Amino acid sequence: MASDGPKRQTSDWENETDEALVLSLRQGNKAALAILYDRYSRLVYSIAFRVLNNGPETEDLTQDIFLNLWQKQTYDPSRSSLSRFLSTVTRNRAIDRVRSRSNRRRILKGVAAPQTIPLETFSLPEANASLGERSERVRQALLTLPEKQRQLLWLAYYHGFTQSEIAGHTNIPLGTVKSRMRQGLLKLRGTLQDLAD
Amino acid sequence: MAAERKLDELAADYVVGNLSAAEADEFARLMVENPELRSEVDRLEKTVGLMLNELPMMAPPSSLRDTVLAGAEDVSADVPLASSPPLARRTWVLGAVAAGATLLSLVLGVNNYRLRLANQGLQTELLAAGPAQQAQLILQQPATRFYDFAGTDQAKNAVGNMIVDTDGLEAAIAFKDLAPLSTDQTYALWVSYQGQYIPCGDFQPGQNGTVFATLEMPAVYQSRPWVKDVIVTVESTDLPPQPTGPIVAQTI
Repeated sequence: MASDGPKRQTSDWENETDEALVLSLRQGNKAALAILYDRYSRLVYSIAFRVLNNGPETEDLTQDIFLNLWQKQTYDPSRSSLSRFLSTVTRNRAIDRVRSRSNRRRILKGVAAPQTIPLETFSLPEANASLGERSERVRQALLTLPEKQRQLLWLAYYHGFTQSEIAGHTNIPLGTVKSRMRQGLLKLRGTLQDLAD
Repeated sequence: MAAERKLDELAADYVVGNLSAAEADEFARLMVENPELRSEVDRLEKTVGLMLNELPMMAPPSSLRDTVLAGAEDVSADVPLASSPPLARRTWVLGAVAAGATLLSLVLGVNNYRLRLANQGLQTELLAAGPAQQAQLILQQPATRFYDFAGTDQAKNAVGNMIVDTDGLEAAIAFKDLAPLSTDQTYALWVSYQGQYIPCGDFQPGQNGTVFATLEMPAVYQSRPWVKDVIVTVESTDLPPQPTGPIVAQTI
């Protein structure tokens, strides 16, 4: 998930796994932080903005999330993948910020909004022409996922909901939430096997 | 858990965040036992990356990248790229660590180190796992700092590594090809911090020039900027307050 931002001395690292980059991060290598930022800054920024609805605050939280990853080693790889850690921690931190302002209106506007999102709100933007065939294949793979699986992946990765929150918001049993997310990811991986190898 | 679910399902559960703390502990153990599980996790994470690229995400301002990286500069020592080679070139280091992996596990694991192993049975199983994978698992833990050493002209063949538990302020060190010393001499390890060297203890190699030892680390390991320079010198056995002897190995 590379951004459009400039790359600086990071070409050797771009194909490294998240695990390898986190390990390198722990050894103080800032190039690893740059690559992880390029991979996940859009995810963090988007989830934060949906809750905070405020550009400067979103930038501040995004910076905070990545500097904590760097300085405080907040991520424990034995617990979950980095993408899920970042999506849930970003949403939780954004909610904390809203709550700290004691602004009920913003809470209702920012936090409650995802509860009301119907299945139909899953939508893909225009295809990224520069990515061409690969982009189109991924989009098709997403669109051919069973809707009940796609919806839950959407809530998890687009909104940063935890599995328990998804269960609470959708009234789907937690075990079913987990199995649908698992099946959805495995189906995607199967469809996109050659791209993921 | 393993008997109930296929490994690819477990990997998917890990990647999407389905695992409880206890399940995650067991998954970490299974990853040690099954290298293919690590590969499957990598494939699934790459799949998630492909998916995220297609979701309608917002792009942060391009200036934010510079701000984040500049912020990282402020809160830690600047680490030149050349000092941390890509992991592919680190294989030999893990191999070297692997030689002392059992020691490392005993030292770091038993001493309340955050391996998050649920019980002694799991730990026993981990010890039976491949040492290189075991070392890898150790290196993944939070609050861990890892250093490579290379010998200087004084000890050209010497190599070594050190894992520091910054919570417990303990380090496990492993060296090889350090020459035996006379009885009135010893090897001493020093951490460089803000222009001063802080003594971290001394050690002697075995007959074959290898060293496996644990040392107490100074509290600076819990401060920023991160310690990055560590040296090994030859000193008299009545250790001086600052290094006076030749440097035989240093961090790279």
